[in-house]
Parts: sequence; C-alpha cells; structure tokens
Amino acid sequence: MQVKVNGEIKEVKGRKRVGEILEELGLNREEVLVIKNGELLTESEWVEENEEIEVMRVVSGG
Amino acid sequence: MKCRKCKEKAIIKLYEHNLPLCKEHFLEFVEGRVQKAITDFGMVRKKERVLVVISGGKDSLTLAFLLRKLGYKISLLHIDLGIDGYSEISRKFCEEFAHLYQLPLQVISIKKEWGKGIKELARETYKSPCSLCGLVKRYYFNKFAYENGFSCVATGHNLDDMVSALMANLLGWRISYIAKQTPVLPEEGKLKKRIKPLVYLTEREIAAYAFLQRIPFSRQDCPYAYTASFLKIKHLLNQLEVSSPGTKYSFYLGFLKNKQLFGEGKVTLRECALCGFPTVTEICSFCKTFRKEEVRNYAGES
Ligand code: SF4
Ligand SMILES: [Zn+2]
Ligand SMILES: [Zn+2]
Repeated sequence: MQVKVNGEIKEVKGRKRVGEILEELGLNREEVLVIKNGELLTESEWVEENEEIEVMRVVSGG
Repeated sequence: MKCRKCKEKAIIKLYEHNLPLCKEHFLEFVEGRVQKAITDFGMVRKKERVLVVISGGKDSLTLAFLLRKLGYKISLLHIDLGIDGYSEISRKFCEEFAHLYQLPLQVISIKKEWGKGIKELARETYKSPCSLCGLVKRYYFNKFAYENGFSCVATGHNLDDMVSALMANLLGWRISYIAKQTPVLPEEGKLKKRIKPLVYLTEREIAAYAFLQRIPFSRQDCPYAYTASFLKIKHLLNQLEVSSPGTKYSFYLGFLKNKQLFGEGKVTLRECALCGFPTVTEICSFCKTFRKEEVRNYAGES
C-alpha cells in the first residue's frame, strides 16, 4: 500500500492494521491522524494492499 | 471498533479516556470539553467580548471556530511576523477563515510597525527569534485588547502545550514560570485577562476536530519551530502517553491541584515609564527592545 506522510510517499507491504503501519513507520499514534478517502481511521482498522492512506502529523511547534 | 455512545462505527479512539467515538459523538465530546474548561475555570461569560488571537494554524482557528459555535462574542487578531515564506501563508489562512465564518479580523504587521520582520529584528536586538516573537505577541495582544474594550484574550494553547511548558520549566526549576501555566491569568491593571479554553484537549483531538469540520488551516511550521527544545519535550511526553494513556492529562490536573506549591506566580506590576503598559521594571522589555532611542533620552532626563 501507499502511505503519504508529509507529502512523501512510502511503500508498506501487505494487508495491515493502521496501528501496525504506524509502528512500522516509527510514528507515535498520539502525533498523527490517519486518513483514507477523506475519513479518519482508528488504529484497529485494516488497510488493504491496494489502498492508499494519508498520515497527517498533528504536532505543531512555536 | 464501535462508538461507545451509539454503536456506530468509531472514527477515533481517545486512549486517555478509553473511549472510541463516531464522528457525531466526537464533535460533541470536543465541544463539551471546551465548555467544561470555560465553566471549571470561570474563564468567560457569554456577554463578554473576547479577542481570539489566531496564527493560521489548527489550534487557534479551531479555538475561534469553537467559541463562535458555542455562542461567544469574538473578534480575531493576527500578528503578521514578517517571516519571509511563512508569514504570507499564515496571514492568508487567517483572512480566509475570517471571511468564511464572517468574523471581524485585525492584522498587526510587524514589518509595517518596525520596518522589518522578526528575523531581522531578532538579529539586531541579540535575541532569539522565538523569544522576541513571544515578547512582541504578548505585548500587542494585550495592548490591542486593552485599547479596544475586550474583556480578555483567548489563545489556542492545548493540553500538549501546557504539559510541555510545565515539563520544560520543571526541568529548569523556573518556579515563577511554572506558576503561570494555568488556564486563566486574571486581569491586573492594564493587563487583560488571558484564557486558554483548549487546555482539556490534546493536539490530536484538535486536529481531528478541525479535519472533521473542514476548517482550512495552515499545515506549515514556522522555520524557527525546530529550535524550540519544547518540541523534544512534546515527543517525550507523547511516548509516555502511549505507554500509559492519560499521563498528560493527570500530570496537568495534578499541577492544578498543587499549583500553590509554586507560589501565586504574582509579582508587583507597575506602569512602564514609556508606554504605560504593565511591567515589573521601570521600562518594559518591549520598550527596552524597540524604543532604544527613547529609553536613552528617558535615562538622560531622569
Ligand atoms: S516558532 Fe518561534 S518565531 Fe516561530 S511563531 Fe513560534 S515563537 Fe514565533
Ligand atoms: Zn456515536
Ligand atoms: Zn513600555
């Protein structure tokens, strides 16, 4: 599947749960939102091999 | 995963409350948290005029959206910091927001006031951009609220901001700063009341709310954001939060319960000899930084 993080596309293999994908990418679940087709996903949701998701970082500085 | 309240599909799980929620119940939750913070800390009443300071980012725009939705009388203020490549975009988001939700917006441009942006002014005054930025914002927020009859200034500080500031100040044992990390700083002379209605919400909850309400916000970071050691502390606290959910919230509530340990955070204020706004010294730091000539003349006379 394709995962867009900060505009950058990353490839993650296989069918996985959102929580597993975040772990694989080294992202903290408190610091992101995961979006598929304009909808928010919980960490237990499955993402199929052929799907695309976006990870939005929520931590702001300043 | 199903919503705890209605059994519809959950779109978010709030780990600190072990609470999965659907869209409708999540929006209701967020609005409830803001109203609860306002009530718990006696922040503001509906008949008061509130000045909401907005940066164009998710927190301050969501704050303005929520206060408006909850029926508060608000106006917006944006400080254009004059940081090339950043400030133009931030300002555009603020103007768009004001237009979209039909709210009055005032913009104070640092370049217009002082002929240059924060970066150049920081270099000239031997300050870091962030400390100068903080000084400038605090000064103008208060001055504008005071001169335009607002009862208070509302800022978009969230739970993560509060706990990371608390942690940073604890690490350095800056007691008087620790005492100031409260949701309300009361009015004192020409210093208007300052309120933080988002203290019960995490950044993630605010971002989710902004996303679901389709509030257009700027996702860019200020180029100086990474110099803030603050950000490292935020990450650390979020790591703790994942291993024991609720850490941030209980850390903050614990502080509020025990804040008297750090004193009142009160200092005796007087009016600045040059601008008349409150300060602890004879001349305020804003005037010391920006009105060097006048400071010299004043020193010469007295
Ligand atoms: S990162 Fe620093 S300079 Fe940029 S907006 Fe925040 S406080 Fe101001
Ligand atoms: Zn529900
Ligand atoms: Zn002054």
